[in-house]
Amino acid sequence: MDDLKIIELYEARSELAIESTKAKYGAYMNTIAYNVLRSHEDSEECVSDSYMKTWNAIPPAKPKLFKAFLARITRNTALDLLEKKDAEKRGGGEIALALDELAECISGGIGDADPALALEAKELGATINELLGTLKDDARRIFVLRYFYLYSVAEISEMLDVSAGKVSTSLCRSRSSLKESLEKLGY
Amino acid sequence: MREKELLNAMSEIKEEYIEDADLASCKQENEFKKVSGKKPFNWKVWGASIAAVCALCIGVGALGSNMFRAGSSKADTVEAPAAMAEAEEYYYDNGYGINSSSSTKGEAYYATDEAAEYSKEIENSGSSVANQVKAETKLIKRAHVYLQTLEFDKSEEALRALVESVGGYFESSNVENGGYYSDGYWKNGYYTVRVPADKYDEFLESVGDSCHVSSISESVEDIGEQYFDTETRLKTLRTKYDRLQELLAKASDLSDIIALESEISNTEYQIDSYTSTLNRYDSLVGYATIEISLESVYRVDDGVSQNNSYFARLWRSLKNGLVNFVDSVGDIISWAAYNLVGIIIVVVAIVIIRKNHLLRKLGAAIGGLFRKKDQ
Repeated sequence: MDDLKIIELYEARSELAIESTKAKYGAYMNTIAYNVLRSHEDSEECVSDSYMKTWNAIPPAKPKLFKAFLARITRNTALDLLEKKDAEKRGGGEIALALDELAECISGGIGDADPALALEAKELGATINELLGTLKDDARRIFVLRYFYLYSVAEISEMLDVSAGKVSTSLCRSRSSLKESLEKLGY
Repeated sequence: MREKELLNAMSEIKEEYIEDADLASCKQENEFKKVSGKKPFNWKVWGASIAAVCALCIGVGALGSNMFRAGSSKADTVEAPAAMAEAEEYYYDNGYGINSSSSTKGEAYYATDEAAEYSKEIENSGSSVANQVKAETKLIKRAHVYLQTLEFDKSEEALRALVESVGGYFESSNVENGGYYSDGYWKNGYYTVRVPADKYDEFLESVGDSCHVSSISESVEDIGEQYFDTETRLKTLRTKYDRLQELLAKASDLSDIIALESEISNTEYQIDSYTSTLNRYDSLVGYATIEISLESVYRVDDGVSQNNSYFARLWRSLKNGLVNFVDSVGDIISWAAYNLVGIIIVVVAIVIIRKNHLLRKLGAAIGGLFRKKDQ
């Protein structure tokens, strides 16, 4: 079914909306949830919550890219669930690895955020978007697959059919660029 | 944790980046299968399996081929030629003629019996021709020879010398030299050669000295019966002619004279007709007719190998495959050289189109830069 028609079902408050979403993007959402949670049970719970959040979000939201919209909701739900269950170390340690890597981008190392310097997620998001806009296509995709979808380096190298070394090098350079951008913001 | 904020902030990235990364991975379903525990397609394992199966097939084929060959009876192949020789000897001893053309080998007819029947007819008709005539074999030999050569002119010259040496002559000759648009087209020659019948075998044995004999097809037609019939009728007509002349000399009545003159004229006509037929037969029998096709080639065909074992055939296949591959590459290079101008035009057009695409992308990037500055 076309994404526009699914959105129309949401707007019409039809129960078919969730069924159609499940049929078309269920596997996709499950993959994103599993990458974060690394647990099938938790992933199912997360995806179910994501359907509810989508139902509540549309309307008033009318996403242009429905798949990306679902990806964002699922990811946020998974991260919230992860924090709730206080299980960063579960699931193969991918979240912990990602956090360790992103810690490089912040001068002063890992530590509690200084409230005076705390930035809203949106402002951080804008900075990241600016960075992503300057990257080449391959580098951007690798960055998004690593830190949005939370795939491992090995999974990314297999998906994009490149060597793991190239993925690691690309991520390292992207993080350096992100660090420069955050330093300019005083972050 | 700040890094946690960063990780959370990734949710705020543009949707088109999320979509683009997902499309690039192109493996949403495969990833789900990975999550489900199903293994992705392993090319290395499949490649090794296919190679093992091929090696097994080759080995089984070699063993099976050798086993079957060992089981065949050599005695059969030895007996067959002997049986054929015995059959031919029987036929010739009993006065039978064998038509040994390629399509009717082994066909026999009873020349002696038919000749005896015809002699009886002549005896009954009052002819003075002896009635115990045995038909001689009159053989018309024909052959078609396909020759290949790497040097056409040399081979043609050698062919002419051979024909002259055996006392033969060229009945017809046709040589095609190709033309401007026949780049790569080679010379071909088509000849009809007449050689004395007693030099026929000698000619065929020597024709392959200066070039490669691709194939030879031969036929022999025995016209002994027809020749005998025609000869006998001719003799009868001549006797008839003599008798008519005697009667004409004695005739006194005008009407008898006219009738005899008319009959004599008809008999003369028939005598001429049969005489020319016999002459034609003599010509065909006296000189064998050989059609020759001489083709210039880039590479001559391989001869029949005596070694027909499985590995010999496999080796020949590999060798021929490699030679054909090299020839194909050469042909492709020749084609490219021939069409070089067209290829250059197409490549330039593609480059221009791609450059336009790049220019468009560059324009979009510059536009994006200005928008950011405005912000």
